[in-house]
Order: sequence, then structure tokens, then C-alpha cells
Amino acid sequence: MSEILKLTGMLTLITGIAATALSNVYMLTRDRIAQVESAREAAARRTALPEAVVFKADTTDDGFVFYHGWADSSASGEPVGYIALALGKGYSSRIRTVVGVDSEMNITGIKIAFQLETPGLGTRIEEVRKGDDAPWFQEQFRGKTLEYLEVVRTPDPERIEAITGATISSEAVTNSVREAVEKLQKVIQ
Amino acid sequence: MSAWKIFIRGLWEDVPLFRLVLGLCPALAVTTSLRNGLGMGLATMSVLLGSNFVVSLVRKAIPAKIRIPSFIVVIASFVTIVDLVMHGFTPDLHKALGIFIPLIVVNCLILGRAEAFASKNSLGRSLLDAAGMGLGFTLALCILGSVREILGSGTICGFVLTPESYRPVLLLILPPGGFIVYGLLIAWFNLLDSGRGGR
Amino acid sequence: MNIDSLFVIVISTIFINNFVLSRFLGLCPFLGVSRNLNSAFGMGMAVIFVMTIASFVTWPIYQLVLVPYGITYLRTIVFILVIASLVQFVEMVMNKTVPALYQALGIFLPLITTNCAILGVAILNIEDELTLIESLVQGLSAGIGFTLALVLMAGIRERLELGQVPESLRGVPIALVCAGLMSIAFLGFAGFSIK
Repeated sequence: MSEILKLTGMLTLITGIAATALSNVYMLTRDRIAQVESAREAAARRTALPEAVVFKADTTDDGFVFYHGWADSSASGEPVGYIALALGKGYSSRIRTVVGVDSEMNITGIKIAFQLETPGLGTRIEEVRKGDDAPWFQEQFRGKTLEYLEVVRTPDPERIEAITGATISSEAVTNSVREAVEKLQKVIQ
Repeated sequence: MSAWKIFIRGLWEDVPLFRLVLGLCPALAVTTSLRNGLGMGLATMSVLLGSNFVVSLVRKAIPAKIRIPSFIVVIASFVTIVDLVMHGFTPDLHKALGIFIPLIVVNCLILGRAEAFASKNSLGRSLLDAAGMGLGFTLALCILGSVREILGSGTICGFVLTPESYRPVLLLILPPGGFIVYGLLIAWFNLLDSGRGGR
Repeated sequence: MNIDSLFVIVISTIFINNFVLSRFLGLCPFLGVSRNLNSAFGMGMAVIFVMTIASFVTWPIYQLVLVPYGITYLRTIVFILVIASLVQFVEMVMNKTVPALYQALGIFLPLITTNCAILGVAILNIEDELTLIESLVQGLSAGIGFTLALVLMAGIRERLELGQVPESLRGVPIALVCAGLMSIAFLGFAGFSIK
């Protein structure tokens, strides 16, 4: 019996030391990680709603989170646009997309914030073509309105061209963006 | 065994991936590009160095019966540290490797080295062993990653290598490609051995 | 919560995103225990069992302990310890209550702690933001998917024993190439679009 107690005590001690060490490392890296994450969010918002400089979070009664964006730093008057997070079930992950619209509900831009799709196929939703400086798939959304958010297999400047071999990922993004815009429309108007 | 022998063993004779066939899951899952392979290799090597260091340091104090759980705690701690540091300092790589960073915990290579080497050897020798095995693992991941990236997307580290007319073998980037490239690489290592009169 | 979403999880975890053939989880036992059909089946059953329980146990620990106390960074260490103790516990209980089952699965249980598919499913349940029921279903289906791949592989390898394989390809390399071909077959399920 005493041996069991001794071993248990020993293992508890080891785990305790490990947890203490980890909490210290966590304290050291916490600010840095928060910084990285907020920089990421800010960059995504800038891509989604380039005109806005100030953002304010808002939540509807049913828990839908969105942001108002203003073009002037005083954040007075009518917002220049809105931002929401779109969630779509992709091929092998939940794709999170930041969507921006202006007050007329035209899409001002989207930015994929998280995806773990198949490398070489689904991950091309973030592909930047040679010579471009922004991902072409996401750029297609800029300036589109709700009724043109439709995935097609052939190049069509009016609609969203699917990625070859990754229709599921393309549709996941497009459908989730449409849902997000619909929700925003309901909330704003 | 001389110090040099301990170090070099992990790089050729016992290359973890090609000879011992250990640590497969991350090896196949993340090696769609050289950059990911290198990142995963270095992350694993850091954990291996840390765990071999601590295990060797406390090897006389740990009772044999709770050896394995204690080692797992040590390894899991180092994995968490690597996870946190990577999240803070190499966020893009952290995002690309995803759940395979916490899964370094169950990489049999690390527990294997702790149990088979660090728990029986001095501090210096254990660190050398970790460095050799870690480098060998990293190198193997880089080879896998390069082959798959060059043939599968025609680039290396994001630089375009192949002419416009080359249609990349997309399959190699997809999951099946991982299995096939890895299988053929092991076969190639075996072939090299038999060419030299076997081991 | 509806049946449809559970069905989607079942199909996509078993076929579309098979743990072994497309997510690369649990490869060590996949190659190590696939030489013989009987042991492959035994290992598969043990994995299904532990995976389901692990999903059921780790989810509440994460959501009810780690999240409220703001110590989610301890996830890796807590999960691996929970899984290791769980395996020990299952081994003990099985030995006491159903010795026949223990005889059949016992030798596979110690190997399961370091099977990354178990820790993998526990983490994926959290990352995919599933509910407790969904996690349970995902754990069960992941185990079934693992068993499916393992048993198929064992069947192929039993046949391979009789074939004339070039010497340098014998053993693991040819098994990996076969796994690659199986993985191509499973890519076919990617065409499924279930909503």
C-alpha cells in the first residue's frame, strides 16, 4: 500500500512541476499570441472592408456577431460598411471567412481566416497566382451582390468560378458568405 | 559507443523514418511542401532534445513502475511549450501544421528514445542522441517534402521550378501520394543497402 | 441537434475523411498490426472501444474544466494522461468482468496509448466545435473507419505474402504503396456531397 502511495505522490509531483512550468511559459507567450491573433484579425478586416478604419463589435439577440465599420476615426454618422464571420463546412475542415459589405449590401471583400482543406486542392481557395498580389478566388467576391453568389464551373466574371477539383471547398465558402450577407441584410435593414 | 557514433547513427544507420519506420503520421500528413516538412522536423527535434535532456537528468530518481507515464508528462510539457512558442513566433507555420503539433506527443520516436536511450545514458550522450535522431528525422521529412513539392506542385519553398508546360502530378500532394512516395523512398534505401552488400 | 448532422459525421468520418487513409492518423498500428486478419480485427475493436470512450470523457473535461478555468493550453498534457489512464482502467475492468474479451483484445490495449488516432479524435472533436453527442458519434465512426482500413489492409497483406515482391520493396514499402492505392480508392468518396 505504501508503495502505491509513494508512486502516486511521485507522479502527482511530476505532473505538478510540469503544470507549473507550463503556466509560466503560457504567461510569457500569452501577450505575444494575443498580439499575433489581433494582427491577423485586423488584417482580415482590412481586406474585407478596406475603406473602414474604426470597427465596433455588435451582437444581435440571437447571438450573431458582426462589426460596424467607419471610414473616419471619430466613428460618427452612418457606418461605411459591416463585417461578419461566415462559417462553412468544407471538405475536411470548418472554413471561417471574414465577409465585408457596404451599406448597399455589395460585398467589399472577403478573407479566409481559417481552413484546413486538402493541400493542392481545397487550399487553393487561398492561392495567389503568379504576378497577382491577392488570392484570385477570394477577389472574385469583391463588388458582387447576393443574387450573383453562385458557383459556376466556367470562367464568368459575373459569378464565382469554382476551383478545379475543389468544388466542395468553393461552394462551402460561397454558401457561407451568402448566408452571412443574408443575415447582415436582415439585421441592418 | 563513441560520441560521434551516437550522433551519426540517427543520420544514416538508424534514420528514424526510413529504417526504424517510426513517427509516421506527421511525416506523411504535413510533408506536402519542404517548408512544412522542415518546420515539423525542427519542432519534433526541439521536443526530442528537451525530453531526452530531462529524462536523462531525472533517470535515477524515477521509479521503474511509473517510468512511462512520467516520460509522457515530460514529453507532453515540451510539446505544449513548442506549440505556444510557435503560435507566438511562427504563426503561419503553426496554422499550416495544425493538430499535428499537439500530436507530436504520440510520435513513437520521442517516447522510444526516452525509453531506449535517455533513461539509460548520461546527459551528454542523451543530448547527442536526440540531436542525431532529430536531425535524421528532419532530413527525412525534408526529402519527403521536397520530392512531393517539386513533383506535385512544381515549386520548391514556393519558388516555381518547372517550366510552364509542366503539369504537376497533383496526386503526390494528395494523401495517396504521401504513402506512395514514402514507400518508394524506403525501398530505395533498402536498395542502397543491398547494393553495398547488405547490413 | 438532428439526425442528419450525425449521419453526415458518420459518413464523412468513415469514408470521405478516413482517419488512416486521408488524415494520416494511426499509421503505426495500421502498418504494425496488419499482417494478419485476426489480429487486425482485434486491434480494430479495441480502438473503436477506446476511441468512443475517450471522446466521451475528454469533451466534458475540456468544456467543463479547462475552458472555464482558462487553462486550455494544458489540453495536450491532460488529454494524453486521460487517455493513458483510460486505457489502463479499461484493461483492468475488462480483465475482471469479461475475461474472454480481455483474452482477445488485451494485448492490443497497451499499444493504444500511443496511437495518435485516439488523441487525434479527441483534439478534432474540440477543434471542429462539436457537441458532446456529435463527439461521441465522431469517435465511434473514426474507430469504425480505422478498423475498416486496417482489416482491408490485412486482407491485402495476407495475399501479398504469397506474391513475388522485389526484395527491396518487401514488407513495409509495398504495404505503403498498397495503402496509397487504397487511399486513391477512398478519394473517390470525395465526390460525395452530403448536405
